[in-house]
Amino acid sequence: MQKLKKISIVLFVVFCLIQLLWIGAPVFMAVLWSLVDVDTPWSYPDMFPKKLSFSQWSYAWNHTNLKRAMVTSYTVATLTSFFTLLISLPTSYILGRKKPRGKRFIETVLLLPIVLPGMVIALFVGRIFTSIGLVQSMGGIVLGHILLGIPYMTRLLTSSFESIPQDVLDAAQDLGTGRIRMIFKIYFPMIRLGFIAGTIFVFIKSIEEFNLSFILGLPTYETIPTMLYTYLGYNFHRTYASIISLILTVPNLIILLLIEQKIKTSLTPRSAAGKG
Amino acid sequence: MKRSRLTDYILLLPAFIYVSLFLSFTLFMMISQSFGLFSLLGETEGFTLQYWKSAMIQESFDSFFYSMKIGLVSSTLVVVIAYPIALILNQEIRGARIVGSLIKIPYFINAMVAAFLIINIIAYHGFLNQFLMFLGFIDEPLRMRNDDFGTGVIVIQVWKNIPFALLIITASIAGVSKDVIDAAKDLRAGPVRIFFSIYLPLTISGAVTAHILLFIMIFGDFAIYSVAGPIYPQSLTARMQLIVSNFLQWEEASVLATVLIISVIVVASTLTFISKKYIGIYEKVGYAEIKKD
Repeated sequence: MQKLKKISIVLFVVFCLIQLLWIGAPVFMAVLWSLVDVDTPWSYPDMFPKKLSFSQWSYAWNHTNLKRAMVTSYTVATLTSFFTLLISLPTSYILGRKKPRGKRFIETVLLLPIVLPGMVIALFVGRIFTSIGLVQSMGGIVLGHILLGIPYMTRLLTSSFESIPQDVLDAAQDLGTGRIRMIFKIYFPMIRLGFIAGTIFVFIKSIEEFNLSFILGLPTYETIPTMLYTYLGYNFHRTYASIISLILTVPNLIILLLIEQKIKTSLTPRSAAGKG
Repeated sequence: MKRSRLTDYILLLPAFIYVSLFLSFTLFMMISQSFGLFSLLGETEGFTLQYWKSAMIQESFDSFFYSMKIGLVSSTLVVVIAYPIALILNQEIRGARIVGSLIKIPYFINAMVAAFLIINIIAYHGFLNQFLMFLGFIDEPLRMRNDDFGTGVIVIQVWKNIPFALLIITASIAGVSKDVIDAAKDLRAGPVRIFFSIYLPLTISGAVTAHILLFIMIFGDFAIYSVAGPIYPQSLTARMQLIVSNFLQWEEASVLATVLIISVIVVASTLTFISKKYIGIYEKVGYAEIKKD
């Protein structure tokens, strides 16, 4: 047993090193690419760029659509997380507290938007929206993003509601607490974490969403991911792509790692742990 | 009492109706348009199988098999890599938590960004090729991005999806009761035996769930294909998008979408069926060994 422990520690250290390289190298390369100087290109056979500067950052900031795309992305994300919260709250309350009949079925349906292939949903939602004039509009993009936000939001909120001990509610009721007081003094403080985590998670998922924004928004509304798509596709530009990637990823990563623990406990499919 | 039941159901509705209306409309449109019905924009010409016939061309088959290949290969690879990692992370070693956080990073990275990050490494004059040439393993750079097989796509899919698999598999491994393991150790079961008779049968359903979800995500991939995939064949979704945006042939695209959804269902149920069968076998082996003792 002792030997086994030693082997596993060695394995663990090797694994950590591989992990550092596995995650670190790609991120490092992107940072490096974004810092390449305008006047001194980095090309084969140089192993590293000759000169580093922020010139490309300021150029991308001032002379591309970056600012507008960011405004669009963040507006859409804010609206999306607000409305998703509004729509998901009552449903999650019932799912978490009242255990209605067909709970599993309803939960499965609520998960479907993120299980079905995104491009298929995006294309046909786009088709329907075209016929009712919602395509190429902010409203259409937000409506689409809400659909993809609901699975995360309901999951996080439902598990928060589930975790409120019934005793507390009963005690409050016995003491004659009114409905509104219950909401503000018991429900809200107790689901606060799920509430915050859900809102942030949906916000970030909306910022990262590509398929729907691509079909519904372009060319009128460009978001950060669709802009990245142009710089990776027909307008290939490695430096801009690096800059946009970093702008898209770094803020999200920091926030998510901060709230990660909360998300982990409630986003893990419970069905996955036990039954298939 | 009855009134409050009613209120409950009304409160239940918002998110449920939103999702089910959206999805049923989308899926309904998809299937009916593939038979030439309910064309919202053009003219509806009545039930016909003509689009199914015209969509069944070599390009479609190539795309289908490409997506299927990438989906099966990448999802299997991810599960095979993630399972031992989950076992390692489950051991109580100091630092496991930090590594656990580090390893989750790709999950929070947008698919396209992930694709971009990796192509910087595996590009023709990229870091990896130069390093391998520097070490003298290869004489000229390997083509890994936009290659015909889709190596680049597979590498990116694996990189991006390991955390997702870990999330599910770790949960199912953590669900294995410590008492059972201790009992087995008391009965002098070795690590190999513990793995095959306890961990594997108890966690295989988690692994299969991960496998299925991964397959669905990878099979329907658009972003990663479009950054690093081969020029031909296209992934099924990329082909759909191309048909729609370049030729406006919504009916053919609907056929492909229907095929995509059906194959997802078929593969998912096949995997579930296989795993059920195997769980049975492992349980039998486990019982037989217990009896032997």
